[in-house]
Amino acid sequence: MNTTTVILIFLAYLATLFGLAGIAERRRGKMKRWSYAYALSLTVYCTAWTFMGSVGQAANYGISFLPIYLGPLMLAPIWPILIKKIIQICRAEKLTSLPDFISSRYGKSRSLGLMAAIFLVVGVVPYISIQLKAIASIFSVLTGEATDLNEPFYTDTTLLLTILLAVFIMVFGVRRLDPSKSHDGIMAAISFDAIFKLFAFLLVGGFITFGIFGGFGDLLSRAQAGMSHISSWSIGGSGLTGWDWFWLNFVSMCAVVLLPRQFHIAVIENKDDAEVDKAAWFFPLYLLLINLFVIPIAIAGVLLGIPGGLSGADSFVISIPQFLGYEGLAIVAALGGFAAVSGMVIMSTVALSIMIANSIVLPYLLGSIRPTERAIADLSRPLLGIRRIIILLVLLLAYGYYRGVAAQFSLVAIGLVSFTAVAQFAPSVLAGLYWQGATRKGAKWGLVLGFSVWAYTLVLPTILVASNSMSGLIENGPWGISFLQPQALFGMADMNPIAHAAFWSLLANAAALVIGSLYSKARPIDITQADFFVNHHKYQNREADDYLLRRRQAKVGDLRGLLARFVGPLMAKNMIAEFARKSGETPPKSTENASPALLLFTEKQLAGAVGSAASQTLLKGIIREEPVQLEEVIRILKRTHDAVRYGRELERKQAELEALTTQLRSANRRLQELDKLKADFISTVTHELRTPITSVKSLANILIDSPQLQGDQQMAFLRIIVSESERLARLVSQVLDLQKIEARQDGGHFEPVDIKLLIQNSVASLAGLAKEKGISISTHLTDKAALTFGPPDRLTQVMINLLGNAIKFVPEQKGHVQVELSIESSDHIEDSSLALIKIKDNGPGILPEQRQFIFEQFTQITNAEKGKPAGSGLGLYISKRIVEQSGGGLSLDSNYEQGACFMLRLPIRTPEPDLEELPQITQSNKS
Amino acid sequence: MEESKKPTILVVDDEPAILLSVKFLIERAGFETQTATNGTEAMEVAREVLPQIAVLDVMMPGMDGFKLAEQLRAIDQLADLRIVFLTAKGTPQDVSEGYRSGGEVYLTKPFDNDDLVNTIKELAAFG
Repeated sequence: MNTTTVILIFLAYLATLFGLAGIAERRRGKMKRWSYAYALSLTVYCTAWTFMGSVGQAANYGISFLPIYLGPLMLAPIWPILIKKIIQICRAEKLTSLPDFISSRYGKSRSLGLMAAIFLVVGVVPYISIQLKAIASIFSVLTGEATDLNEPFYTDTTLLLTILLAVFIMVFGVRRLDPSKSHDGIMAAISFDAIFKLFAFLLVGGFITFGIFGGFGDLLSRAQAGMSHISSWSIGGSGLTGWDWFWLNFVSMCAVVLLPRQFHIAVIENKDDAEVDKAAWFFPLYLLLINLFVIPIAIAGVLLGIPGGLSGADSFVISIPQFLGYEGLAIVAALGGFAAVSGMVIMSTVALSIMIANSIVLPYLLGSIRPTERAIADLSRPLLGIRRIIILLVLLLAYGYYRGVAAQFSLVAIGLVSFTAVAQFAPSVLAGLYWQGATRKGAKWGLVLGFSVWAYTLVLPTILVASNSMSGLIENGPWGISFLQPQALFGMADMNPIAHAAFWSLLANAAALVIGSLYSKARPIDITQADFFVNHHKYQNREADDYLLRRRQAKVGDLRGLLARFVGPLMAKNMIAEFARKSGETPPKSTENASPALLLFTEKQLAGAVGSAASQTLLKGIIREEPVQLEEVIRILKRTHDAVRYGRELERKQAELEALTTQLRSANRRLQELDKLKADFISTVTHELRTPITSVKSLANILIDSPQLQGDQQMAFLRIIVSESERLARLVSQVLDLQKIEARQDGGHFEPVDIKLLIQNSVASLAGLAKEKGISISTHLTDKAALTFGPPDRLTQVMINLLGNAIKFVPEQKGHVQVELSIESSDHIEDSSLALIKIKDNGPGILPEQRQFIFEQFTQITNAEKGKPAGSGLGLYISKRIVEQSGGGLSLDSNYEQGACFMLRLPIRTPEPDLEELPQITQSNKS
Repeated sequence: MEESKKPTILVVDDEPAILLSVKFLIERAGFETQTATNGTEAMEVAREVLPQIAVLDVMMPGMDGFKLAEQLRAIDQLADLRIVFLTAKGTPQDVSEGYRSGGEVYLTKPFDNDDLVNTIKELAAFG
């Protein structure tokens, strides 16, 4: 077959696709999409690799081609649940790609989206390139000419077809700004591809199995003899271990969800849940059918001795009919292969172009435009242009990769390298959906580490082999360190390279994600986004109020201006008016603040057009954003038990607050107590003042109006008046004393005081009174020097008060008061000894129930025998205050039972050198 | 009529000087007096002499005047006892508490001699 004919046939197929896509686009919005279009489009999973590579793999290695399909089949039962959740989130947030999804989940991080997009491009472009390689091999089979990579690229038919595909994609893949709106034309073309490739494969397979051979049984029994290089059709015979199988299956499972083209169709192109439900059984069935004849074709190819042998087994599907002389069938098979290629290339390129435009180019572009210019620039036309250029670039890049590297590897090998790359997103996506604690940092670390390991274990060896250099590194490890061998890390040498890379990269990835998440702090927006993704169900049906607690404000006019740059001014106006109409409001004025719902609406429209990261950047220019409110975060945290670190921080803050409150409360209580004490004090003082005044006044009046009163009675009344007046005077001076002491006004004249002398002077001054009453006073003083530091007059006042009390209470004639002075020294602390003065009497003592009150203000001890003692009730209180101000203490010895025993403690101060003489001088003065 | 017998008046105060002047004033007006310096003592005296009128201080150690008034009223034979509070406590709350506890007249210290005597006379006349 000559080249021109082949090209014409391919062009005819492409024209069919154009036609179908055109029809579908025209019907768009008028008729419901064919309900199988979604499920059929998903089968872009089956690429040229499936159509051709599986046979090649089977011919060479038995059933090792199966994991790629077993993975998705095993995932099938939970696929609808997983994908529906992702769809709902993407729809609510208007996410348009996997990087967009990751970026949005992890706190709308632009850098994460950028990173994800770059990783995906790096991971997927080689995959596109092997599709181009498939086109080349189809050509060479049909035309019988070997692919010559040395011929100039402009005569290469592969490049021609690549460019034609690019044109198709640029026309139908970039029709409208908002990529979240479905591409019905593309979907129609891909559905056609899907049907055609299955049809072609079944036709060829059926013909070979039943037309040329005698059915499955015949082929298999012949295989025993003819395919000695495959020991058995089992896992062991495939050259893989069970462990390898596990990882290959796992990687495929990830890929069927996360490959950009799969993600795009499954999530972005989805219209409703019914489509998902249909795909849930249809897609696995399709996978089964397209694998039905893989082994028979592989066996037939080997048995028939197709030229090129095992190394040409990738092309058996076409080369067998060709070899047997069935040209028409060969052309159908070739077109089937081309259908598989075109479907994959179209969808991958569309998905990549959106991703690159929204996650890489636009954020950079917007960042480089000054905010003021951002507001004027019309970005709608450049945006579509940018996407078209990206499509062309991606395909040219893939072509370049094919010319440079991919030509030397099998379809399966490079496909699996891509699968492993894409699988790196599994940890952050799964954690993003189901673990609220996953943070931006964790996701970043995971992706970076996963991709690094992937690059080291898979890409590096590929490049080294391709360039034929440094093979020593692969065999011996870098610098001869054997456990760092790229394909046998830490001695795991017996694994299939893909399984080996998948194991290590995913392990590193997941570990970094978990550890990074546990050891990083979430910002409020991280928490709200995490909650929105993980607990998505609770946000359904209540978007407007609950989800939008984010308090932001922007003018309607600004929002309209922003929209206008992407959809044109008229459309922007209509959209806002329409939105208002739908929510039952009048169209808002430009100067009004936009409602949260309108803000969200605008954000989503923008996100749909330029991606969520770029839309955030755009909106930031016009929105006054208040940070996410604490209460919102708390509200979320209340309902979930994750996000522990943030909770801990809040707890700490709360604890601080509580501690502060407690302090305030106790300070307040203390103030109230003081207030009450003061009020009580004043009320008591008033009462105490009124009492003597009352009797003085009353008795004086009696004297005035009773001239007839007898002399002795007159005298008695006058005496009471005098003594009550004295009491009044004493009370007033004590209250003044107390006030001074409390205000520490007389704290100034502290000086060294000899305690012995203090006692002796006090005793001496009361000796007369005691003698009058027949009361004896004895002193037992220590020999040691006892010097304290305090106000001498005040301390004397204390001594006299205590001695006076004792004299007051002991019985006359047989009363006895004893004063003892001793030194209490502490073994532990230097310079901390105390002088202890005990004043004991043989009076009635103090009742146990009164002991706790006697040092309080206006507590008077009544003596049953002697009646009410003449005192203000302030003496002990004042004494205690004075002693405390001197650093000592005044208390009762409750063990003493012969009477009352007061204990006065004063700190001993070691005399300064110049004070050393003081005791003796005063002593001698005394004597 | 019991006019033949002079009404007995119970005076309770913990201040001897005040007790002395009140006793003098009331006796000079022609009444019998009995005195006590605290609540417990007052209860004993009251049971014994069954006074017609009681003049009570409020702030006393132990039982205060209000409490004493209630307890005196609780004595069956003293159902008709007229109570006068004579106290330094003069806030409105104190006065109302005094009336609640059964007092009829509330005089504050320092009191006017004539006021006290007139009060006693009135209470005795209408008793």
